[in-house]
Amino acid sequence: CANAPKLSHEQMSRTRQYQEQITLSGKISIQYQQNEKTETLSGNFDWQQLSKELTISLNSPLGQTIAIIRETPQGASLQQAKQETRYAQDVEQLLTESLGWSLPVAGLKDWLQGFDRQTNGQKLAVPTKDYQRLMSQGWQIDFTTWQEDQQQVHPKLINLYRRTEELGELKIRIAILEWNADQNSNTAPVGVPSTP
Amino acid sequence: SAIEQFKSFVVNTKTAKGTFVQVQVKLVNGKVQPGKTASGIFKFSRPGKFIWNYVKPYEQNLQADGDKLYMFDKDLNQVTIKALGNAIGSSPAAILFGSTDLEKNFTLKDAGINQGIEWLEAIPKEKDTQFEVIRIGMKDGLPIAMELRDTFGQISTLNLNNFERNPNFGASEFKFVMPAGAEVLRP
Repeated sequence: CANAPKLSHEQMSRTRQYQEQITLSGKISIQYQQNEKTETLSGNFDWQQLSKELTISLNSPLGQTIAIIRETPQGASLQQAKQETRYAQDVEQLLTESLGWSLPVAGLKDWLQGFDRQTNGQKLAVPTKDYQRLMSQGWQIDFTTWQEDQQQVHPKLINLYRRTEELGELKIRIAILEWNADQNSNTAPVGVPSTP
Repeated sequence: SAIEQFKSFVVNTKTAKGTFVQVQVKLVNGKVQPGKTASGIFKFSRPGKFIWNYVKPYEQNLQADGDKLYMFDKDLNQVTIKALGNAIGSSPAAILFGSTDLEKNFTLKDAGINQGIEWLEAIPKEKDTQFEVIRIGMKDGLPIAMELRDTFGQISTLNLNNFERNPNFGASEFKFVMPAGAEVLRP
């Protein structure tokens, strides 16, 4: 398995806070199906999450921006190289229609920080353990490794998998490399599940 | 002129190796900000064989063995394999390392001289590329700098240093070695 530094017991049991506002960047690879063939996209991503707005940019290794995805209370937009900006109410529907694959943007707001949204909308911290698996919103999410940055323990390598009739198999792998939670962000109160 | 220097570079430089520093200039709501910096090593053997390895801050290797393009990302622990043909069509790799007739994929234009560096512009003919324009800075017959402008107006600058011209490489220099334990994504 990945030779990432193992988490200490203290790190694993530390209460984690969900950050409403956060800036992340890292590596991403997306495997999706397109007319019976598996296509692969891989590059870097920047994730800038404010309380009311989210901006995701997907970049090539050499630094060229491939796409900018934005989500605001008014709706979602997708800018791609040399194309008209596209708009839609729902970001995931916009991505599916424009790209033939989609990022679970709503879910990622929680999963990138190692949380999951309960049916009552409250965010619950996922147990901080390597290879921790979560099934949520039709996705299988493996929190393969974790890491500490700015005294906060957060996921490092995440593997997401989903199979649907419409899009077939979708595999996303994310490595979070830069993590900075906005200090004055309004962190929502969250509990940690009582380990059985 | 830059174009003459570049054409003679392409003809006279069959192989090369050196180091590069890449600085991304980010446009953040209109303000130009120095973004991420990365550095690494490059090697090439014309046509179609090259190594472009990012060493810092994160290891990521791009390698072409003349037939396939391999991309290994250490953090993702994944290797992506693509057919070489269309993968590097209109990219910096095609310019520096590709086949000799550059004008098939690019329109070349001289773009003046500054601080002893003669610049040329390569505008991709292919429409669906991420590049708006690639500028190449020539000095003493070698490409020492490149500016990659994407269609969002963002610029990555590349400085090529420690340029060694026509070293001889062993037969397996560009043979890709699969990192142990990495997941392979084949098309």
